[in-house]
Amino acid sequence: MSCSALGPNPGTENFRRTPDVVMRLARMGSFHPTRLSFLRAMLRRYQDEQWSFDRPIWAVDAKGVGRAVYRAIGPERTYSLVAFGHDLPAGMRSDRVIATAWDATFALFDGTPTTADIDRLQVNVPLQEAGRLSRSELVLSRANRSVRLFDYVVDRLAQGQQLHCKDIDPVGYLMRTTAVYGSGKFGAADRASIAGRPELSGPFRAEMLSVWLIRAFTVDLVEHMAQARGGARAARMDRSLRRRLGVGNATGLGMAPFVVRHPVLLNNWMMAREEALARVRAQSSVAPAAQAGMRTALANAIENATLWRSEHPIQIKKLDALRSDLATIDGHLDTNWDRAAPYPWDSLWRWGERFLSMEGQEQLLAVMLEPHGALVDGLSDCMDADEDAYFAIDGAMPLTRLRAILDERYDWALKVDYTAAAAQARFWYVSEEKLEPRLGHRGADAGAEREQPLAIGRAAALLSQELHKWSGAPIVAAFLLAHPEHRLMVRRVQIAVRHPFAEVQDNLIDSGILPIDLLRCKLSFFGATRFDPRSDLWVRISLFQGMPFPDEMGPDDPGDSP
Amino acid sequence: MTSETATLYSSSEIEALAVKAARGAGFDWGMAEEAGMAVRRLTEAGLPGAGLLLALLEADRGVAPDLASLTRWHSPSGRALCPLLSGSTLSDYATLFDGSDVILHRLGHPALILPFAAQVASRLNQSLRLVWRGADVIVDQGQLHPIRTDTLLAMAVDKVTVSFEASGLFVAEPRQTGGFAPVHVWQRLDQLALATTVPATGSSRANAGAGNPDND
Repeated sequence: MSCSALGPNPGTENFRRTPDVVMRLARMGSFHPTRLSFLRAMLRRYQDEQWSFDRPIWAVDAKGVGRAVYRAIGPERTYSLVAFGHDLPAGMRSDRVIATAWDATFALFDGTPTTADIDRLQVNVPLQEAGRLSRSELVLSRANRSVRLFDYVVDRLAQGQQLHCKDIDPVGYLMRTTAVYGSGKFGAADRASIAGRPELSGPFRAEMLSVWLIRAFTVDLVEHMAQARGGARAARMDRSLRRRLGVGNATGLGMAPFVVRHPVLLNNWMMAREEALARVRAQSSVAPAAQAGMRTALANAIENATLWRSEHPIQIKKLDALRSDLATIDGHLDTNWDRAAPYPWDSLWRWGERFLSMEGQEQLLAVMLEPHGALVDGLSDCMDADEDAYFAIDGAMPLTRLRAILDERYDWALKVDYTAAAAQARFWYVSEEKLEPRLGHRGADAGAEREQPLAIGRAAALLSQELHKWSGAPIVAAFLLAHPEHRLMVRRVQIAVRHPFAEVQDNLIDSGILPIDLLRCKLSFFGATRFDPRSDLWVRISLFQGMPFPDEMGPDDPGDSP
Repeated sequence: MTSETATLYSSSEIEALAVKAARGAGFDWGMAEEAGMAVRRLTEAGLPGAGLLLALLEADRGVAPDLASLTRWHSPSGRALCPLLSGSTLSDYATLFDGSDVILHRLGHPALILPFAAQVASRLNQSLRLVWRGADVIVDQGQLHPIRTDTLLAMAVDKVTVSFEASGLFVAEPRQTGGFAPVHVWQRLDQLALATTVPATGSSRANAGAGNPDND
């Protein structure tokens, strides 16, 4: 990774966790958002650069049908969310990618759109995948109303009645997005064409901005519909209650392959997070402000864990462990934490490793990072990746070196016996019908011969076997000329040399694989909360819950008050 | 290929489709990734990358080169050399060339090798010049600069000479993204790409996600 904020910091070396500890599905499936998460890094930037926000167009009828534009105006450029509200019959409302109609559809426009731009978008955006964007658009998205909450909130406000936490908290959002497409999808601007803009260089920055502005739209929409229905007696939502609303998101297997397909990016996310933890652990004292900040963060985490609901047996168990761990941390901070120890934060961390579940340990990480913004926030600038720079293969590399890297970095993969049925029980494929990734049962389901290249551990083992048989010229180029079938894996092995956190160190086709672990990891980097698996294959989450709205961005640091 | 019948696609769309089409047509995944890179870079340079890939995939894809020496590449049979296998081999050997010309005998769809030459040029911080009868292209700082284009899109040529020159003839320009592809080429590549997907069955639909109502 080439990032100045990550530069030589020898003091943290002894406090770093190793990839074999971090890159395990069970742990990645226990990650919590931190202050390095993408949505918080975005809000910090808007705060630092004093961005302003407005809503130049609002043409929506009493049913919520119409168009609106929200602008984010930065020092150099402006971005606009163009929103279309639709009147969707309840029977057509589905979160699945198979849906063809939604309550609202959105595009993030590069600049301020003209009426002609909006007219063009109105033809295409409501069609989503079936429409076509231009280079002037950065993101395409859609959202559905929460059946449980949306109409209820409109009704209450229309009657002039205020809402209560108990109404809002069990759901936590008025709408949930069911897809947020960026990076050149459907003709939109390529990531490469905008990645050079400092305000968009962070991962998924344009997508995060879209979702944040969508959140503002959802509240404006219920207040507008309540006003239309209730007239003068209608109420606006109490602003502290409004903060408790995020944007829901339903996501499935489509997101899981991403972290496997982008090893350099995954490495950079992980290294930034691990370096942040190491920096905190390397502190030799506890400043009173940091202690107080951690206390606040812990209180927030406890409240979050109280409100966090799931009906999935695995997540229920993890939540029980988390709540118990949080109480344990709470007690430890009061009574046993030796703040006079040579490295008090490290001693706290080591205590956590001994006595907390993985859920609790990863929550402790987030809580420890929270009061250390000055120490770690610069690392959010190190979480993007120039993947093209690592595409070309170094064919001059001696095969002895390639073998050595395989043995060192892929020992977790080489020790698996892939002839055992359980070790190859599953296979990843793309459905012809919906072009979405799915996970099949080898032997039972058709299509294993069309498997996606996500079985990295098995590919590493096959490469290792072939290398042992090889008697040709002892360089990578000669080997690949004879064995192009190993090209994908050789590329990854060479990437792994300089990217120790590039690989998930578990067998992704094992009978016990839980795709939701991959989802949780990625979503935590987004900054998602309330991770709620609806099965082993898809989840609901919330984004921006507790964060300020565009009209609340002001002198207070939003990043410090999640 | 005129723009009247073509659509403007983003670079990521072009690359993604080329990868899937190459894989669908039988290339290994790692080679399919190379095809994606090559088609994307050609399209960004205003060349018909998608059409070239389709022509390759629909005809004889050719064979891997036989490197009798580092500088003389032959086909081990009467068939043309595959430009993707040859191009990625050229890229793999980048740092092992000694500056002598590299000659490829009987290369299919030679324009597809240009993006790989561009990779070599970037790696060595040099210019590469590729010449075949009726075509002359300089690749410098990752960009393609066609000098003569009469046979740029030839199906196969007898001989391609790759020579190494000092960089600096051209000023590096910012990368352009996206490019045009004819609709019929896109549709045909899409059909090839379908071979990477699995037709739906009852159980595959059940494996797709929601096992309980999602409308709440």
